[in-house]
Amino acid sequence: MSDRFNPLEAYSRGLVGAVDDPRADEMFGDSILRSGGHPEGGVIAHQWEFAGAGAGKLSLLFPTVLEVFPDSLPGPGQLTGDCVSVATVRAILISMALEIADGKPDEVTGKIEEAPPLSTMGVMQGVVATESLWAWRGYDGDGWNGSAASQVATQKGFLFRKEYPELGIDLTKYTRDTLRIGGRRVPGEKWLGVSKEHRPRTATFLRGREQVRDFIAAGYGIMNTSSMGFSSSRNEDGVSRQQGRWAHAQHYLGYDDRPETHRKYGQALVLWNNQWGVWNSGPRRIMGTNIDIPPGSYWALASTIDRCTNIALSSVAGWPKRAHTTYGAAGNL
Amino acid sequence: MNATGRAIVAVALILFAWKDAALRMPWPPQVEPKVPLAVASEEATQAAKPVRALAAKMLPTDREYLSKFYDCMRHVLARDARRTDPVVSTTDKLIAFHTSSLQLAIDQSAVGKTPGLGEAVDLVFMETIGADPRLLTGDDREKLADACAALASAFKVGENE
Repeated sequence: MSDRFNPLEAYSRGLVGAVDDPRADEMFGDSILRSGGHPEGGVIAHQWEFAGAGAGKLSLLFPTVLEVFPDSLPGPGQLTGDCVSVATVRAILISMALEIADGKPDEVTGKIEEAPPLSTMGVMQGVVATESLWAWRGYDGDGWNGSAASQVATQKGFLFRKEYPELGIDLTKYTRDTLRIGGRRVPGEKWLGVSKEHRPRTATFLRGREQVRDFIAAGYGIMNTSSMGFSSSRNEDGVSRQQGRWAHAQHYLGYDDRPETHRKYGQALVLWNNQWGVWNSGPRRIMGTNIDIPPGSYWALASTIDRCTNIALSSVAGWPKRAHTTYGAAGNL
Repeated sequence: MNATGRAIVAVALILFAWKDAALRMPWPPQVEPKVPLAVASEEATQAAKPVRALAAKMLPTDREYLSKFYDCMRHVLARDARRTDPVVSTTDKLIAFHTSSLQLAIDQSAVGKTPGLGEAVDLVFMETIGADPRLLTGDDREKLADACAALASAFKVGENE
């Protein structure tokens, strides 16, 4: 890693953060099936009856994420070419936040979950430690594959941005030192025993913009890998043009399928979030609303989705809510 | 009294005489019929024993008030359980419902009049449906009704003291 990592410069010059690996995609699809899920998002959307959920709507994920985890977005800017790992943990963060806000019980434990007790720093550093996936890639150096990262997430789980004295590590802050953990020498059983407590239980591949639209509307975090670069300038609606090439992974924060958006842009827009901190500029106001998109994010034409590999992660085994200590009578009778 | 006034009085007298049965107002007023409290299970009654012990030291009017409160709460929760989409669907919502109801029903200056009472009441719910935050099941709702019945009985004046 260089002393001063400028992600925009590095990726524009050809750093390969997102590695294409059809074999890894195949293996991940297989592992999804073996764990009882389905690798095709279209099938999931119909089975769970949310196909079409996003049609005609403005669907935003980030307001709920920021309500559950204030200031967790955009998160710290990348310090190396670990975009795949960062995009995956952002997708996990999104799914987890939406599930916590929803208040529905975890499908396996039956318990209602709450936000993990993290420090303010831990939340601002993104809640979920990217290093907890990055450490498992099996080699040192930049770049990884989206399916491989998602497979690690679903099988080995993740760690939060906090201290783990039992593992001898402090992941509260994303640093060059924490990025050096693991890699060629993957973590051991002790780490696995802790990380497996928290993982997305299922994932699926999404094909095409309608599936992404509907999964966003249903509240699922989605990471993507592609070779597309984008302008660092946003227009009056927060839209950035696709330009250049980045072998990069990012994630989505929303989808705008409103008729007025189709009229103005000829198609829907999707809200991309980059993991480079505040790397871009321009207006952030969502068209026709008083809502601003988070710094570092930008709208792009929905057609960009068709050129990505998209993976949705969900059903995050998170943090069981603490047991009730009162049923409301103490202090009121 | 002029002719018009006398006519009105006459019509009124005739009306009362004619519609005697329809306008009957019983005297003395009938005593409100007593509706027996729902019977709680042995388990819930046991859980409510600490409440019963504390209630013995309370003023009768306060006891009757809380007995009616928990009888009403039992009734409201039972009705909610019959909805296809219950309002009190989770333990969190139950807590919010119970808390708000108490805050509205009990004068703030009266809170703490009987030390330990709130905690004893909470324990009845803890022991009947547990402490895990979760969705309320049909079984939970039955146990909640049972807990409320046990509390209503524990507060009632003249109930097995």
